[in-house]
Amino acid sequence: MATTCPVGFNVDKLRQLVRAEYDRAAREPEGNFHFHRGPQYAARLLGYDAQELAMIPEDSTAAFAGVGNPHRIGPIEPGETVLDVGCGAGTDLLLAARRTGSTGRVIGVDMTPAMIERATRSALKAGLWEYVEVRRGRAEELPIETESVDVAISNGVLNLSPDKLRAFSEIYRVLKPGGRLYLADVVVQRELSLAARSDVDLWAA
Amino acid sequence: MTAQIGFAHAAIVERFDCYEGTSAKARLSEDLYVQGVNFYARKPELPGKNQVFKNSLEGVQVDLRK
Repeated sequence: MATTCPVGFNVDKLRQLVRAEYDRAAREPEGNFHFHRGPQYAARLLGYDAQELAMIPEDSTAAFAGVGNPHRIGPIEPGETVLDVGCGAGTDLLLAARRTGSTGRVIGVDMTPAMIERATRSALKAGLWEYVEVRRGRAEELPIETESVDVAISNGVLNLSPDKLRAFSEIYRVLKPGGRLYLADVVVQRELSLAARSDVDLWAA
Repeated sequence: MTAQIGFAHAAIVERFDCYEGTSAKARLSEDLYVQGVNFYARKPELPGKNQVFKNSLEGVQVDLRK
């Protein structure tokens, strides 16, 4: 199964398209998109607890665009350090912060400025800013210290990476020995054709 | 791929029809069967350390020392 984009693929254009799409999702979450968004979708299709989501500021949940539920994979213990790769508007980030508590630390990384702004605003509104931070960066080059993270979570992000091997390697680097990866993402049942993998618009669709 | 990098205990643990009713599902070929998954993996402990692996979804604790 291919894990990188084809030779000659316009990676910069892909990143621009992805950034633009999720920038729009951050600025107009109620707009027309090819994917579901919001807390009702998260509860109905992905098993999120609606009451727990109601405790997260709407700045985050309205723009939620995950494809699975990392919080159902395993526990996040009080005091742990959690990294959210591609944290978006911060729904999973703030749910993780509720689990780590103030003795823990939660770091979100995202490449979309409008999403970073939403996540930061939500963390402030939720009173979690003392142990939650959001950094600008990419999955393929995480701005995170080596072996500093107990749990890495990610939701619907790595499928958009043009170099998944590099992204997974980065996650491996930042995890402590014994660290856990709780990943939610999309998979396909068969190999995509070269034509499909070469279509930048289809990647960001 | 995760095993190639060094992750252990990698497994898909849950699946979701996250594109139900969306235009993405209509655009992509139906036979690709695109779906959301929850995936677990773990970075091995330091060499020589005993490992106890908890499968939180099944509630089963597996002791790898056995």
